[in-house]
Amino acid sequence: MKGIAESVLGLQCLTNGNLLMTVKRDMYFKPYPRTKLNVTDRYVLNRAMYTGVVPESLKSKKELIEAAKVSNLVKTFECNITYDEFFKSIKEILLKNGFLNQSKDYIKGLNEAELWIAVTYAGKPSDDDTKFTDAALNKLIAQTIPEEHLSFFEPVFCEND
Amino acid sequence: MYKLMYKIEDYNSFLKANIELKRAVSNCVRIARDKYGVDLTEIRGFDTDTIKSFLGSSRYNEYPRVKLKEARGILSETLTNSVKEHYKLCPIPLFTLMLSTQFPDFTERSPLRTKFASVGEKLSDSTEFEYLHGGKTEYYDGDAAAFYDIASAYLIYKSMLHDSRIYLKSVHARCEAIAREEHRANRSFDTIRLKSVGIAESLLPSNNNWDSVFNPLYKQGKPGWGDRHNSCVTLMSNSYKPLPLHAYANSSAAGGGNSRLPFTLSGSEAKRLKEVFRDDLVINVADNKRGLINRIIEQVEDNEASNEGISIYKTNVIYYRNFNSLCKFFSEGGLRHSSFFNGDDDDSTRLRMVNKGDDEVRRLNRGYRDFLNIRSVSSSQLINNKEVIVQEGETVIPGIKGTVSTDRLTYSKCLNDGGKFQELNSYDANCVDLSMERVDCKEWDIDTTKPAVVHTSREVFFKDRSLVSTGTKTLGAEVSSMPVEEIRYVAVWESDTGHREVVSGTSIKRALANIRRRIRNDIVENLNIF
Repeated sequence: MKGIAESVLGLQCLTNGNLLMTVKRDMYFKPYPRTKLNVTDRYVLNRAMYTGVVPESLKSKKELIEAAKVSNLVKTFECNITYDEFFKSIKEILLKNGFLNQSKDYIKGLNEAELWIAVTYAGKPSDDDTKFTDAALNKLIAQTIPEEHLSFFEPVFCEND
Repeated sequence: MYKLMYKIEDYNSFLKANIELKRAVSNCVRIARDKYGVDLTEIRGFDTDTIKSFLGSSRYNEYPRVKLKEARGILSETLTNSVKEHYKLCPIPLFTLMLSTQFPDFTERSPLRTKFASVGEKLSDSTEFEYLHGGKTEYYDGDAAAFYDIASAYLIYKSMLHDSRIYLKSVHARCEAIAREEHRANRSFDTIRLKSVGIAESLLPSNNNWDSVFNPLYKQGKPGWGDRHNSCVTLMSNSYKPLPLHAYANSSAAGGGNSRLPFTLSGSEAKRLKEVFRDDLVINVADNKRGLINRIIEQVEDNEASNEGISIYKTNVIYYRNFNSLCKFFSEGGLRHSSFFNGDDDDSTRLRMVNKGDDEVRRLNRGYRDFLNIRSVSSSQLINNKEVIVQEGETVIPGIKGTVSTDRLTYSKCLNDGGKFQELNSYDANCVDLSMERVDCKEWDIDTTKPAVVHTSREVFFKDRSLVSTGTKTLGAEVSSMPVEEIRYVAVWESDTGHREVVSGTSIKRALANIRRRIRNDIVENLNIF
């Protein structure tokens, strides 16, 4: 599985029935030789970026703080679809495209987490059928995400120097 | 080996003496021919009768013998040990006689003759040779003696030349034997690898275009090929079989997180790659990444393609893939959770997904335990008295509190100097468990009756500090990408103008469809209609 669904961290239900989605923005660093960070720094910086909290050990490093401004890389927002409809659509996708030669009854019996596992995990890279599953899922997610958050699914490329 | 030999003085002087012997022989022949009108080349061997017949005299009935045994072993003392043994087997070197000898001018008194006399063997008529012993009167027949000198010198020289040639030949033969062994030893894995890496490097595209993180072959900021010092280009044997994707992540054979991309090959494979794809070895693969074709499995026959002048190859493509996305693929051998995928619709099996203590669960923890259904987790199962809670707190997902626990042994192993639980190896990751529970959320009004689906394999989980990331070697830092292999179909099309298009696809149909699109665009661009 790749594409939009890869960035999804959590799926929950709001009391109004809508889907609450937590997504993560992918972050890439420019590689050597421009990077001046060692592995530890990068690790800590990564943490700082995701959590939005710059640890004290990093505060002396100006460049790291500059880089950490690309913060708030985990975002939670309400979607345009209800929780039930979302998983219902996923079930339909699986029923339509099939899932590892499983019977339809089996797919119907899956709970939410298992549905998500199935739709995101079952893909084999050289399997044509899952490509359709991927495409359908990407389309579904793209429809459910509010427009202002769509940019969140684009990766960020961070220069450290 | 020969270079080594030339550094030895004795060997050098031996060669020089050999050359001078040759000169001396030709001198003898020339002088005998010019002065006495005799062709010495007709003399065969050390036969005193032959010399007598030439001289027409019976005075010289005994030919002086030279003791040559002492000459043995001068070389062998100075040569290296490895050669020494071979020298011992060689015939006695004759040349040592000549080392201190100025080659004689045969019209004068011959030092060679004094040499003969100094050996101490008496000839039959000693008075004739009185001068040889320092006597003052010259009794001998000058011409005859001179010719005798020349003839005997010729024979001796020739014999010496013959022996030294045999000697040299045997030395060289043994040197070659040694050198062959050394050569074989030098053609060890390193030599072959360096050579093959050279071939591989010449095949690979230049690094100029590849200094970005977009490059699928980049691993942790460095290119996965072309660096001899890191020897990142590993070579495949003919019996090489690609590992399943999942095996790469977890097998120690593949080096775990540090495994390298294998790139080819035998020389013939390299040539074939070069022939078929020329410089277009890099193609687009999944995730908008670029992969490197490293093996042509076969050429696929497809009527549709051949009608359009497209050739299709089944190839093996390698590239680095982000670890997280790697986790999302199952290879054919990579389905871990049998009960889930076998369609066993039993609630108890679902619960086992998160049951700690189940071997099966522990095994699948590595790459698989990413999504958890919170409803099916009971915290009492996960935490007992033997375990240490490493961390608990609010996660980045609103309304969910996480707890990381481990057994005491793992905990003590993973303590760093500051007394904090910091690093987690993939080996230890099996012993760490994560449980989650729902808490009140201020920002969002969450319906807790519906199950939440949570991804926990990310580096980021806790808001303040992240610990749990299954399957990574050191948390979040080292494993940024894993090598991946994939079989893809590559379509090659060449236009009339020589323009080439190389496009890949996961199947023959896909490759064909992709390249048709490319060709169409290409034609449209060339026509310049729109």
